[in-house]
Amino acid sequence: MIMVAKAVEPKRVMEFDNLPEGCIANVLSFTTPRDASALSVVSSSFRSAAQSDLVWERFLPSDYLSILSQSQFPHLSSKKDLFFHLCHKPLLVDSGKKSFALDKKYGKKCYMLSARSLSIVWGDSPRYWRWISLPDTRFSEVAELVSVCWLEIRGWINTAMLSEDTMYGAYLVYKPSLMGRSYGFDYQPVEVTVGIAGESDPPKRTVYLDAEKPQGQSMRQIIPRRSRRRYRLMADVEEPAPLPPPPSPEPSVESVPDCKGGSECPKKRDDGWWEIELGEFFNKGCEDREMEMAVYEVKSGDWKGGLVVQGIEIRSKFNPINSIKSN
Amino acid sequence: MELLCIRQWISGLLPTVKKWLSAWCIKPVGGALVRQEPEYILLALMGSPLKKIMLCSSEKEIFSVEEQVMVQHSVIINNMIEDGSYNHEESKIPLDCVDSKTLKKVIDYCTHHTHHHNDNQEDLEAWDAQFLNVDSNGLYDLLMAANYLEIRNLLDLIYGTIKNMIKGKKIDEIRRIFNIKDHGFTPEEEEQNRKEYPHFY
Repeated sequence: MIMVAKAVEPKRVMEFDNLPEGCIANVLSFTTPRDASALSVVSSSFRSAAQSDLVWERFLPSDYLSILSQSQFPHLSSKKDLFFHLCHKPLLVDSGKKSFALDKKYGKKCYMLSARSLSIVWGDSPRYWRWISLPDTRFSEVAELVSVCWLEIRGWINTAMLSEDTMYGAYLVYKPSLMGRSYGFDYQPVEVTVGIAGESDPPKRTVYLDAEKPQGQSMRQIIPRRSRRRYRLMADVEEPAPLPPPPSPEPSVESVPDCKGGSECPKKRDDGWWEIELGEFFNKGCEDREMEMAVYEVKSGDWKGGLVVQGIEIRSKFNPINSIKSN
Repeated sequence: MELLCIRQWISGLLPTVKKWLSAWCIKPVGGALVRQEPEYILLALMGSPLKKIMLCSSEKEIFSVEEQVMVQHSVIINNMIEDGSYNHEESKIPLDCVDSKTLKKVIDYCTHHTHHHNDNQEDLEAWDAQFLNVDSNGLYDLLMAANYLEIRNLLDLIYGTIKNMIKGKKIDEIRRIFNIKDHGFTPEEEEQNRKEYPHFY
């Protein structure tokens, strides 16, 4: 009997590089913007697919065309260029009252509410607040605090404008002062809240706005209202009219918690401004809610001045997959 | 009773029948166009044989499958039926780039999702996970077949699976998974890639 060796078929091996470019692009579009950029180094086919509009159109928000229509926008040849342009150059929308940008890791929508779109108590009175233009801001005007003892700033955003299934943080974007002239915030904490508008008891936190507050010092002296003249540094401003209660406390020395670098302390941003976190909320996306964000210091009665407010930024906070919290 | 008489009888009952059949009507699945005419549903309920179509694999094996099943899922097959290029009496649809093993799996997927579209989401996902429990070659073949037949929901399922396979992996491992032996970069380009994404290497 002759045994004939059966020819062994060569083992077929999958070669993903031979897939149509559209298939590779589709795989990339299922990842995140950060991962799609990184995966471009797997092979030249992946690099080519990673440039395609199919990938980056999927990372852009579904309503990006209607958002772009609210602003003057340069023509860009590719969706990838458009995506990264929106990440790095916030777009002014809503007649310049807000700016829109994308988070470059996951493509989540971010907004900044300009100072003009916020409700600032006494903001319309030049005795208490001034409106000025600065070169290093995205808006035409920012609000500079002349002097108040009732500090109250509020902003609102509808969750329908934001990305679904995303944890958002709200941040006051400000400068402690121009040219180092500020008072009333050193050692004086402020209260901040983020909650649904109209909610009776939104969650409150205590934070510090003074970026220069030394670490480790726990004793402070309250500067009472009757001593405000000594600390008024804006010599060209007429003395503000006294405001209604609370009553002036006697000078006293109290201990306050140290600012140890947590979220209760301000942080320097890349654009030269400072930010302090007001709070966070999780946007499921299945319902429209008006979120209210507030900063206020109305209890001490002490005078404060020098603060420059650019606005309130609402941006994505965590990896959305790991941050499922109900709020 | 001829089909024409049945259709006339059904048309008369149509307004009432459509209302209580609406929950039974096959809904669009996977983006393919769908036939929602209740006549087909009622025919099925009455026990009339459903239309079948013939698919022919690259190994010349013929598979008979319900027309509704493939029309719901495959844009290509739906278009062929809609534009009349498929003749039920004589034709079979040749699928030269899909082998028998893969074609059978594709038919299983489409049939399961047609007949179980009302199941709860967890059960469907568990079935899908089991369905895609194949080796890399099998996954590649399914991807090519789903791409050719334009079965959107199967494609999305496979893309999601591939994404999970490469998530968190270093580049050498991803190249091994995809069997990429020649990445196509020059040494200078590869060096530049390393500098740009050092965490990936």
